Amino acid sequence: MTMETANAFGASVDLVQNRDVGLYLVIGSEEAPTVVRSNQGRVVTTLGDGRFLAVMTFPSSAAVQQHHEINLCGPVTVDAHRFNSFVSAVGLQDPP
Amino acid sequence: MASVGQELLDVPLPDMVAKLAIGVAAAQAALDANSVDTAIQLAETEISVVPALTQNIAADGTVTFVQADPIDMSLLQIGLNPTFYQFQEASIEVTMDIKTTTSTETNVKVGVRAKVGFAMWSASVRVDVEHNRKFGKEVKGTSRLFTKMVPVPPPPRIFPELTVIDQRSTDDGGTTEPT
Repeated sequence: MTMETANAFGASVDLVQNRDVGLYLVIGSEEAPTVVRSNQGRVVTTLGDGRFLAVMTFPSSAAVQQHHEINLCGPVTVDAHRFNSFVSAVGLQDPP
Repeated sequence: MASVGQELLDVPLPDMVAKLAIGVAAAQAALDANSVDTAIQLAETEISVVPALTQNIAADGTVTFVQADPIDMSLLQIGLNPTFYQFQEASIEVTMDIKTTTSTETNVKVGVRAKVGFAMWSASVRVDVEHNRKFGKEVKGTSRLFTKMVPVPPPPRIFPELTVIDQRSTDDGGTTEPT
């Protein structure tokens, strides 16, 4: 509902959002890790070229995405089957 | 005074439903666009992977390592997928408490007037009765919009299938099946 409707009713609007933590691919300037940390996120893997993986909540990711230092903050998941195939293919461990 | 039924009819429920639906559609489109952008970046972001590392221990105990040439693989290839979200449920709950009160106030004014003089007297009594009916209305309303968003499997065709064909000979002389 828009704030216009809320204002017409003299209502107050409270937003409650899910606080579960997820994994995100973040691309941005060299200040991007600082932006993530300032939004209660945590950088877990640096990929170079301004790209890294970070864990944060969905509201935090929305705030990070809006920041001018950020080009992309997209949710990612690890495909366990594919990752295990990759790990075994490169010889890091035996197939499960 | 508007009736209770009219108060309920005045709730712009169709407007709220329409705006909720439009909001969900806009949010869904934004989420999909973000996931597609993420998929593109996962496909374009490559890391160097050393596929094999050999440790040689010489007779004199010297240890050396030999690594194979690194290969570039995308994050998508190694198993990082974009997450796609979908709005699974959206609901609007409107509750309204309407309390109407009616009170009647009656004011009575009594005036007595008497006059005496020259063996004559007169008297008058005046009574004013005033009725006031007062109406009061108190309306309390709350609305709750609830949306549930869940991750869904990504479109299967955006991922390359990883097939491993191991050409090394096995103990029985054959090769392993593709996995």
